[in-house]
Amino acid sequence: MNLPLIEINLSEEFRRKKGGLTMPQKQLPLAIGGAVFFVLLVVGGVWTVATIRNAQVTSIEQQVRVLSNEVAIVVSTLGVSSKLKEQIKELENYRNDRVEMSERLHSVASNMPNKVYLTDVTYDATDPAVRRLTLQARAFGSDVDDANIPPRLTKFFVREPLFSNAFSSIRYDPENKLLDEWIFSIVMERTNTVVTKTVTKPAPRPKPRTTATLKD
Amino acid sequence: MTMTREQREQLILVVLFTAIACVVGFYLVVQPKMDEISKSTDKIEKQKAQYDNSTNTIALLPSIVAATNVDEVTVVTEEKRFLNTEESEFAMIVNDSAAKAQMAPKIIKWNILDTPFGTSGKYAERSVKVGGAMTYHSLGKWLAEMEKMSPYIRVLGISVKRTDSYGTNGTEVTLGVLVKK
Repeated sequence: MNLPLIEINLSEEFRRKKGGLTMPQKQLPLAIGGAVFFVLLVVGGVWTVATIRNAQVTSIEQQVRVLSNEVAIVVSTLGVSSKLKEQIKELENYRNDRVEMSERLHSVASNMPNKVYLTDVTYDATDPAVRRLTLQARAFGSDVDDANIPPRLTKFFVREPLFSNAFSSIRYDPENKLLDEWIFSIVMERTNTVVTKTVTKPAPRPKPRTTATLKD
Repeated sequence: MTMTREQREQLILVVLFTAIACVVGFYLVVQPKMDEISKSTDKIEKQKAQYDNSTNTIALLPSIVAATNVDEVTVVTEEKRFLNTEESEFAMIVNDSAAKAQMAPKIIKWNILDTPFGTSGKYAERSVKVGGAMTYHSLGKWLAEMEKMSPYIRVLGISVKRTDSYGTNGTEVTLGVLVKK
């Protein structure tokens, strides 16, 4: 058998002559091109998004800046408003905290029992934390002792809103006894911390012979 | 489809270079830009919130202005009720009220050191000590006259001491008057 000789030449030069480039050699530039395109696409996309975002930031910052002037006006108006409200509150406090002493002096005078007269009246409200009214009085008569008229007078002040609203504590302080005369004080006090109403009763004493009555 | 060794090496080199280029490109270009985008997004959110906040605040302006005007009128009206505490003017006020109460007190101490009142820093209380010999009744009448003049005058202190048996007392009254600082 006579087989023909087949010319096999696998060299590059031979293949190029025969049928052009092989597949990998054709696809390689395409693949590189594709990769470069993809990279450019990604970088370009990212770049574009970043640029758009920056533009948005600049735009909204500008809008906020434009509004900031108006906001400053609102803030300053709010400041003025709160200052005015504070002033109004202070004026109200001053009015509400005022104790009209003329009314109270009138009430003290018109409710003094017959056998009692005032010697000293002292009122002190210079310290905002403490307000004190001290009525020093004398009760005279053989039928008066510190178990009847002075404590009853104190009770009257405790019941009377004119005094009980202005003073949180109203107490009776017996001071001295000179023959038929009782010297005593009624002390009305208001402190910012104490909110109690007390009537200090003296120690039990023998019953009075007669009972004096208060006016009103 | 076989490749020569030379071709394979070329292919590996190309792939390697591309990979390196991608990595370098990612770290040098893409990642910084991604960070920038992320920061910008946060910034946009914050600015949007601030914008909305500003818009809401601005919307309140008309009502705040209206309330402020009302408050301003209230303060001005109330301040008009303050007594004039110039020494001569206040002496006249004291004398007028004393005349109505048929008594003659005199200002014995003029305290020009005002005590600050409240926290706004707008007001102070000026104290004036007035004294004289008067009956308990006339003291009450005079105080009533003074207290009627303004709600911004108050009694800070009273000292009444009986001096004679005719009902006349040595009296000292400390008045507090609210003034603008």
